[in-house]
Amino acid sequence: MSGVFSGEPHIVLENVWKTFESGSVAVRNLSLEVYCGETLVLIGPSGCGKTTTLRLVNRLVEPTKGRILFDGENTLDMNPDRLRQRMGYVIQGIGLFPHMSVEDNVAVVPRLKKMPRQAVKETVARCLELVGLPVQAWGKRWPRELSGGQRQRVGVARALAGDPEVILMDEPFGALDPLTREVLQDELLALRERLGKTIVFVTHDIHEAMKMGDRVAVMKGGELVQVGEPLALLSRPADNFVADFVGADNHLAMFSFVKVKDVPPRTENLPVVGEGATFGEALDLAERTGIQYGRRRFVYVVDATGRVLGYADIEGFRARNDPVRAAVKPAPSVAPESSVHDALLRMVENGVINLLVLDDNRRMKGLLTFGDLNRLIENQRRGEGCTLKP
Amino acid sequence: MYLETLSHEVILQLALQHLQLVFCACLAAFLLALSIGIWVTRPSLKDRIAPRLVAQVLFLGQAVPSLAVIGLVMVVFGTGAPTAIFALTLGSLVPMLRNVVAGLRGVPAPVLDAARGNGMPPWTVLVRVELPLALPAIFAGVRTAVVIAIGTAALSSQIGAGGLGSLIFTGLAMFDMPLMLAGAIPTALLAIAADKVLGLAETRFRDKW
Repeated sequence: MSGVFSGEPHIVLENVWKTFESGSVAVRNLSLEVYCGETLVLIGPSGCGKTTTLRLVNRLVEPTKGRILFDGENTLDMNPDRLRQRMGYVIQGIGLFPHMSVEDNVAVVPRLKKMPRQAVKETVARCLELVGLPVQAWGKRWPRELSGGQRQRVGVARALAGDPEVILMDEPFGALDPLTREVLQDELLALRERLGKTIVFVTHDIHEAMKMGDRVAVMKGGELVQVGEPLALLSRPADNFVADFVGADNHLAMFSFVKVKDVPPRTENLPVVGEGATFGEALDLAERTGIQYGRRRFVYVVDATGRVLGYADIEGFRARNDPVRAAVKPAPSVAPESSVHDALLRMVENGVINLLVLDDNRRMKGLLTFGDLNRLIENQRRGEGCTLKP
Repeated sequence: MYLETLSHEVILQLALQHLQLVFCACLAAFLLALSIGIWVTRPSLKDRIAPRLVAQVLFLGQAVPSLAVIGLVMVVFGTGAPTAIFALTLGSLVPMLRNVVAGLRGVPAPVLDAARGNGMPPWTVLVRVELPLALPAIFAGVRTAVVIAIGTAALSSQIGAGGLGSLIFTGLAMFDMPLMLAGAIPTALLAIAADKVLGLAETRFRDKW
């Protein structure tokens, strides 16, 4: 879902300042737009004002100067409780109400919105289902009985239950172990695809920022240093701070930010044959496309519905008229959403230099070759960006 | 001996009178402590002088001995049960207030943040989040205060408010050990029983989550 969002700005911060009573300036003259449906990640070292910025949006903190518009309306003119009910809020760790069961936690906002009893019940069931904790099994549990990852899931379900227009997340996965964090990040990405909500996400983990964000806003000392798409930050960092922060000079680090689909993989002139093809046809096609593994030629084989069955090595074929189907073996593949880092690992593990790019339905989205990765590094080194896009 | 003329009914009646004093005083103290405790812990008032001052004065008040409080109150209000109740209320207020404030301040900041951040109005945050979470602490305060009040109420016979204290002080004055014990033992039993019963209720609150 990356790309430029031409949509309406959903949240607008205009020259916002926040000075606390102690005299410390948490946010300095910050102007930022969050577009409908995008995920904007706020990132920076601790004390950079990212959390304060998030809390300014739902008025847990009020601006000293400047204004914040939500759907074009100044938030200071709105009822703060009503405003917050329109924005889901997920915080790190122990934000669940310990004295309420899981289902009561999730029911908080629907009840505040005075939804009828039956509708509350249905909403709770639906939201818990979305985060993989069916209400029959988990609804009656207490938060203390859950693992950290499960609590965080309940936190997300609670934020979704009010059917908010925006979800604000303050380091939601910060307290989790790396494995659980990965899983929850992936789940959130999938949820986002389905729900299409605007999300403002605070983190101090640059990997998380690059993975989750359609755009990433880097902050330092209360100021916005740069905002842009993850790859733009990598290829055109505004200053040394951003370059250091995103690790733009670290090619291996870059590999974990760049997604396979952004490279982009080759989609034309691929050696693909239907399952009914013969070795002769496959050989001719392989000659034309010129894609080889070492000196061996091969083709990918798809069934009638377009699903990839695997690859067929056509060097050792017996007769031109034999069906290619007989030689099909499973082909190493990678998802378009995976990082280039994962793709490279997959190549090394399988001892191949070509990787199929497959979507969830095993449909071919292209071919990623080791040569592509090589050119990616060259581009980056010459400062021409970190994709192969012209 | 005077004790022989003392029937069970008299002891029971005095015990009931004793409990009445304690109950009225503790109820009044509880309502006061809850109101003041809620008032001083409101975030909007955090930096105001008034709540801090009130809390300081009340906590200092705990240092004044109960008998002195009763004496002082008597000077103003005269003798009788209302005076005793007033004095007991003052005495119970501080342990209760201490725990109400501790309980409300002890609600984890992220939980409060989540409550407000999800759009709960201040009153709802108080009723649905803060008070339930502070309940075990508040209850512990009530328990301490009730036990202390049962003991202190024995002094109120000195200002003519009755209660089991009458037996104790008469017994002491007449060097009548059995008579004194007829007041002291039920007082002790009442205190122990109240402690146990309230303790049981407290654990039930605590174990719920």
